[in-house]
Amino acid sequence: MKHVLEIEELTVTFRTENGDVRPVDDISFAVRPGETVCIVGESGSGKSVTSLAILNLLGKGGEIGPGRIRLAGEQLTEKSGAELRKARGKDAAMIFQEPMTTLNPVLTIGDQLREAIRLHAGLRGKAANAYAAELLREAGIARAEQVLKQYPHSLSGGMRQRVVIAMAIAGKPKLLIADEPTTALDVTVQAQILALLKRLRTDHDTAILLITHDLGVVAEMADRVLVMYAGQIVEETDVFTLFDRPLHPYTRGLMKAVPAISDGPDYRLEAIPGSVPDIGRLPQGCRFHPRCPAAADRCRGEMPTLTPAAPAHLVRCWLAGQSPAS
Amino acid sequence: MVSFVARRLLVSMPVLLGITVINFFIIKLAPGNPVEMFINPNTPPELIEAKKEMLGLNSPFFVQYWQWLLQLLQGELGYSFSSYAPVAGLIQERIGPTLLLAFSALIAGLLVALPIGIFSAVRHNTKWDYFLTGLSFVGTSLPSFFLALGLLYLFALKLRLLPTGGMQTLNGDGGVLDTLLHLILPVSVLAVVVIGKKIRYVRASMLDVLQQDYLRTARAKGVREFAVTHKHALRNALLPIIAVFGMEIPALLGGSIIIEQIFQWPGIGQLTMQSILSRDYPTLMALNLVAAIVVLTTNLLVDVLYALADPRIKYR
Repeated sequence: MKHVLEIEELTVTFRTENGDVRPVDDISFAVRPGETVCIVGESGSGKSVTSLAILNLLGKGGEIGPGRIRLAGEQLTEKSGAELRKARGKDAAMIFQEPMTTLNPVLTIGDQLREAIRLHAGLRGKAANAYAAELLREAGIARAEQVLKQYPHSLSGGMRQRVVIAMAIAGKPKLLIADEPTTALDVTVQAQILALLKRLRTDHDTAILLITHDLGVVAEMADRVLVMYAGQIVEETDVFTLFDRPLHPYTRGLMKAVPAISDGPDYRLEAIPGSVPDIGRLPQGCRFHPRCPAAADRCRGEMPTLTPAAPAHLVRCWLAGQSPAS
Repeated sequence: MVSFVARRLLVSMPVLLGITVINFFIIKLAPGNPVEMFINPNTPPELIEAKKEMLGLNSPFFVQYWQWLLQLLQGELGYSFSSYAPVAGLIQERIGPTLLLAFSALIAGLLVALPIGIFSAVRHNTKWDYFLTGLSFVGTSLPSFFLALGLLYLFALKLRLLPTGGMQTLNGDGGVLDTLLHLILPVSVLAVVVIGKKIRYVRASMLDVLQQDYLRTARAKGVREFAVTHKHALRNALLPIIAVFGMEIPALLGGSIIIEQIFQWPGIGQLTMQSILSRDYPTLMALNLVAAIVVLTTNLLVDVLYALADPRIKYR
């Protein structure tokens, strides 16, 4: 199997009172076994919707299609609800942003872990309990037996995220989809959770699709990066090229908006002017042109396509070939 | 938990005492007195006076209350002014049928309202949801005496399937099945009101929970949709549901006053009605005491159930 996950021309439509909107509009990418792919972008860029669409967890109103999602060699977009459910947690598992709200407050950690174990490892009773403790230890929780009997409210945010990760690896998935897994945690805990994810990747050869808006996390984790803007991929390349030679004006704007520790106290942080457009009212032409410092006439009238600017470096910008990164 | 319950029981003592004072006062405020209520109007006034003196009705209000309280503290509820039977015995023989009626209605209400409320919430804003919410509106709006008469007409008079009233067939075998047949109509009437109100509460509580992140986590694990709603969501929606169903117990006891009249159910409701009409003070005070104890116990029970349903609630 060459790819764990292959997404081709995926579109997600939400029906609203003001017409249909497409928070994800015709995106394609693939993840290889053991690879970490990061999706970066501001809030509203469609990165979370993309992550939820893979296992069809969009909820009411969100429709997937057209487009194809292939997970572990199987076409998910053609599966029935029951078949799709079997893939959840088994072929791909998810880790969410808010560890405070992603665990059920009235069930013990053990209840919730054993449920995943029963579904994906087929273990029950004592065997399930032993495996649950083993998973917790693997996720870096020392007093596992004790934690199994506890309820989520008695654990810290970092501990809860470890529990969520333990739950996610119960079915030994080939792909972990992590939607902003460290955003709600403080920095030291963030570093621990990222280290844990890295270890899981090397130990089990698990591929990771990491959704984040934090370029620090990208630099730390990613093999390859997709930059999303207003529902589209605007740049895709490996992590080194992205940081050395970003081509899309949006990517460059994001890089400039990261404060450096060497910046003096009077340094004014550069920000991209404006905000992400409302997906119900997208601008004509390139979706980024109203905020782009280099926008030309062509950008206002015609949507650029995602084209290779260099080997394995895709960019959606008319000017990418002409103006190398400064 | 045990110390919490003990403390709550202790605190409820003065509350109970206060309730009896207020009740006594209100009962005395009602015009007329027991003697005038059941004595031939041609009785000579001195006889009436003698009777009043005998029953202690001429003493000041607080003396009368004090005597009642002293009696109660000795475990004595007194004798009925109208039937001269011991009040404790009257209540004892009638509380059973009332509790049977009220709890049957509560359980029936729970068994119907819970699944319908969940179903309605899961199919939020669909035709099914509108239909069931509309039905619950009808259930709440129907006056129970009207529904009772309608059901009596249909099932007892026209179809002759069910008895018109009472708890057992006269000269019947007095079996469980016979009582069950007699229960169907009054329980249905009481339950319809409960169901109508509670569908809304269950639906609202479930809707609130159905938005929560942890349900998405459960789905992402591959949990079946039925288990997502009935295990993960319902457990969390239970708190407000416990509260509203708990509050229903006193309401059911009150509501059964009318229903017991219509169906000649030999319960507390009938006794209450008779005692009010004859200004039977000792019986009324005892009935009020029972009602107050039911309300206070229900509140305590609800609090205890809270802690059982939600691990985040801990009493110290």
